[in-house]
Amino acid sequence: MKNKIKVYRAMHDLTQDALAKELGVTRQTILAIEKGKYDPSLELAFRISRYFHTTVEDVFSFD
Amino acid sequence: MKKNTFYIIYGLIAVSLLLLFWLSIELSSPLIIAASVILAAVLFFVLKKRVTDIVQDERTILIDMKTASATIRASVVLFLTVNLATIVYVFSGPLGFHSFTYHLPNDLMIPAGGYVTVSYFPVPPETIPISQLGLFAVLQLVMIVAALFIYVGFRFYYARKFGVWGEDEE
Repeated sequence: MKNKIKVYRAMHDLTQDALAKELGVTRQTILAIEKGKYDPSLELAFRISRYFHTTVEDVFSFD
Repeated sequence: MKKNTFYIIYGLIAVSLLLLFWLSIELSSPLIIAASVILAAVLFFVLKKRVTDIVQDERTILIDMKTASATIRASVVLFLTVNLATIVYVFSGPLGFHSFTYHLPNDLMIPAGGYVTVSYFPVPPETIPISQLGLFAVLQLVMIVAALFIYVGFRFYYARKFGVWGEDEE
């Protein structure tokens, strides 16, 4: 699964640590999702997209 | 409680357990170490609940679950292997179930060349001398340590699989 979290982070000028704190997860989890090593749960995917005021389909795409 | 404070207390508990183990041996009192281990385990879980700065999310829970599951499966194989080998070793001994009977040749009461079969069954203290039970305790300890190593191995594997040690590209 591909995602654009890194792009959205850059657009919002957010570090991985800051985003992780906002979402209540660890920085390593954000890093693992960005690198495609971990696919987030549906709940976390929705929380991420909601945080960036966009849709899940826009942030995540099935490869 | 902070995470580092918890780790310091955890270390002190481990050192105390070692001292109590030594004391238990010195006083020949197994009750001391048995009660200490249970108390230490309870104290560990109570203190762990009070740690406030450990962030646990779905990925860390997934790593925990997968590690625990793999460790249980590998440990069952390890324990079964050692246990079966031990059973064969013990019950193949001269006082074990290897022979239920023995023969008395040249008995004056029976015709020449004949044998009389005498049956015996080993009673538990003869089967496993009490002094050797300590060896089984040591063997169990070795297996627990082996299980810990298995846990650490799987922990590294799954943490790596789910990207803990990835490079930070910020």
